[in-house]
Amino acid sequence: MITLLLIQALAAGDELFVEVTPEALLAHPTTCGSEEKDWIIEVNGGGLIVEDFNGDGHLDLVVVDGSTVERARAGEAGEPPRLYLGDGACGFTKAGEAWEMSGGRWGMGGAAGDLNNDGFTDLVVTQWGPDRVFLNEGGAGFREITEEAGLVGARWGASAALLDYDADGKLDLAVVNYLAFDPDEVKRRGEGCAWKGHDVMCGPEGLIPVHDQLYRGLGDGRFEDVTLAAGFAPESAGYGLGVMTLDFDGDGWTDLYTANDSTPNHLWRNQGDGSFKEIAWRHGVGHDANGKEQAGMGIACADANGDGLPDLFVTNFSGENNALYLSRNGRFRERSHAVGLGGASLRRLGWGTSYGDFDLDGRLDLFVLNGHVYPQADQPGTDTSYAQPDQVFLQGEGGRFEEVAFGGEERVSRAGVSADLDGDGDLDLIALELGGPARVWENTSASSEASAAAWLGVRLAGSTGHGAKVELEYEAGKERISLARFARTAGGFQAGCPLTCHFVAAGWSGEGAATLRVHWVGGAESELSLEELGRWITLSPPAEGSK
Amino acid sequence: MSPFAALLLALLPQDRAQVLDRSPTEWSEAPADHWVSWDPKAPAPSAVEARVALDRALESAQRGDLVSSLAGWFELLEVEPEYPPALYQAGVIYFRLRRYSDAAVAFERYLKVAPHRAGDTRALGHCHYSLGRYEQAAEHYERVLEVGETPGLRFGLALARMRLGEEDAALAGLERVVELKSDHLEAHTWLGQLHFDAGRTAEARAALERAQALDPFAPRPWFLSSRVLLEAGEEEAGLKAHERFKTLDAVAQEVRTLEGRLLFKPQQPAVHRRIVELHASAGDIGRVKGALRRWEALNPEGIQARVVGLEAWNSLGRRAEAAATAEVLAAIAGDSAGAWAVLARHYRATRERVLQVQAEERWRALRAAQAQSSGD
Repeated sequence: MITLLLIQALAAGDELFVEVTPEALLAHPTTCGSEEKDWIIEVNGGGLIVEDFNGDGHLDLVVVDGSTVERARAGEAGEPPRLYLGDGACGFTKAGEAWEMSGGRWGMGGAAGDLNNDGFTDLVVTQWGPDRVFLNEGGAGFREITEEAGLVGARWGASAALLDYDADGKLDLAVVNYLAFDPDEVKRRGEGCAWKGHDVMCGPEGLIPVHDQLYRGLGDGRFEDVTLAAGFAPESAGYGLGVMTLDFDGDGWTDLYTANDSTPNHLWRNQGDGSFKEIAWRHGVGHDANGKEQAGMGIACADANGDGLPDLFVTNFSGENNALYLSRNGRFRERSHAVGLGGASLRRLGWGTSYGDFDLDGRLDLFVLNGHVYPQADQPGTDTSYAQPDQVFLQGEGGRFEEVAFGGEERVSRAGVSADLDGDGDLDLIALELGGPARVWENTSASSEASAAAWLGVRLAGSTGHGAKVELEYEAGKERISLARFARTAGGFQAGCPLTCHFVAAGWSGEGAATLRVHWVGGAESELSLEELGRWITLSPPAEGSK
Repeated sequence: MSPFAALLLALLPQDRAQVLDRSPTEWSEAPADHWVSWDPKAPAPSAVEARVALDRALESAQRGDLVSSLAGWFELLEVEPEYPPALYQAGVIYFRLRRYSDAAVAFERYLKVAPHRAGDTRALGHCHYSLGRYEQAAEHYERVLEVGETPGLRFGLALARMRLGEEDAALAGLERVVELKSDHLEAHTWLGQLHFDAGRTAEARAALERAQALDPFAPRPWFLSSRVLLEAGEEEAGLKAHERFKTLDAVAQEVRTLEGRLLFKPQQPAVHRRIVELHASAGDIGRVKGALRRWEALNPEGIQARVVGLEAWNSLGRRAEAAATAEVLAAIAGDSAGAWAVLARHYRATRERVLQVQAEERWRALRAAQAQSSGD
């Protein structure tokens, strides 16, 4: 499929990422309402979900597509979600008929995981309308079971996360809902909503936020709504856009964090008894450092400060800084400016984001996809623009981040995923353009001579891998270094990423074994001694009682 | 200025949109060194066109109509290219409209034509800061500080340093600010923030208590206090501070949104009314006064602002302010039945019987006349 690759090296030499978007993706841009963006439903764009669906060992891609207000009003289906099969070399081709999915009302995002524990990756798609479930028929195709799946209601689901919150070995599901939208009731652009003196689409302020939902997995692809029983309903609902799974306090139970637009973000502590408690304010992750709620869009999560606990990075609206919440003694401090991530985001409106060691130096970097919600941002006096550059920030000494060139052209980007699409040990990117195609960016780090890096990719199998903490310990000179990564499939904003962890053992001499430890959800542990790195390995949870 | 004159100065909606669509990059240039010896004490341009534009700009600004004022400065700059006060004031208007890039262009032009007036341009540092250009902000503040030290400049520089991750320099800068101006609310609040971030709980607490004493209605010190108290294990006090923060923040947020609307369209009585009511609901006397003052400046003869003011002062039990407002309202109420009804209620509450009876009679007469005219 290499022949189908459209290679666009945008800059010579030291460009970290090179665009290699396959023709199959370019040929089918997504749809998301009108170009004028008269309605709020038209601005979020579609979703991306990366996993291996056909079981060939290569990562595949689902593009969740949208619709138009006219089609929705006429009761017509929107564009269907589409599966593209990966060739293991950053190439994708449209999957055959057996994988075709019908169009829903208006697709947004989703998540992928083995819902029925048959060893194959199933799919959840969120949408404006009832969320949908597709079971994988043994790696040969999808079968939709939405009708009997138990996902209740027909809200505007934005992002979804799979987790095993009760550690019962069956995947559960959290769906983050945005707001109550009905084009016959919500005002459109030109009906009195203004931003910086310009007429724009209306919302989210003034519209009704909708509570998020938590479903307990029944292990066969069906779910039971436990939102109220689990206490997963805050005092005030937020305009939910992004969701992340994490174990913020290291107690072994998977917690949830949601990014809410123009309302405080929520941190849901899993209390270990099947219930959750919202504690964002107490832990300093509900607002910015000034106590102001921001317009949360996407979330990245990783142990950026090396204390073994996850840190959070939230993308926000233009005029607000993206927020980096670093963990400290079980609480968080907003430190965006102190590490150089604040000012760089003030004129951008951020969406998809993820941590990853993009330059293979042992430190976690960040990518942020940007693009405004208002085409009117191009009018005078807005201090921002509709199309914007996407950003890659490399972490350097002392935890400070430096922006490096990425992408060249300014675009209106939305969801994004980083994953090692070609298995070469560095993390590539996929970015979805609003009303445009998904674009693939190949990371060139692994191919450079300077980066004969000691990397390790770990792929986890089984539901208790969702939320597992994975540690790599190794000797670097006289120093014993421990790196912590967290396995999850929640991609932050309308995205799903593969259940993998990526390590770079900077300074590893190659002498002496590195130790890999996996703390599976539910308490099981695996330990592995590795004589060599530079490869992908797959781990399953140990049989009960064994280690 | 009469209400008629104010109406003449105010722009029609389509003209307002046109002004907002313009950019400072379209200003033409003056001949080289034309303003090199310009002195702020020099008389304003005397040409008729220039005088008309200047009057529009100044009087509109005084009334809080920023867009009409901006139109005036544009007109003046067409007649007198790069006239330094026009560049400067246009920069101020752009800054108040939160158009920081445009404001920066205006201030930079001002600096170009009047480099000897760098001391006037603290706001250029604020523009860079608001655009996330912290290095440039810090450099500019340093430059202006060479001309003279003020608390505002020190504060701007301290925040820029903080945003650059230079927290020790920021701390020193903020301490200097409170040396220069001990009641600098923001400086005390940021000191609280910096101490809290560094884990210095006692210092954070002291700074935040000072901020709360200076302005008990500012939400941010309460937010930070709630976090400091909780981390210090003072659960009850922390929760109480958080509740206070939520109450004040709800007001502040709504006010912020409403004020954003007024920036571009200041004549919106319902919005002004809501702002006054919000501040009154929090018991924030100072901000009620400020909101009323701004509304009254837009409509010096406006009855509605006084009616709302009188109701607010009465609800807050502020007799002196209510009496003063009632006096003004009685003088301008004219044929407004609603105004007389409010006055009658006020005099009844203050037991000013004669005035009460007069107001009630006036109200009845106006009601009767209205009923008759609607019957006709």
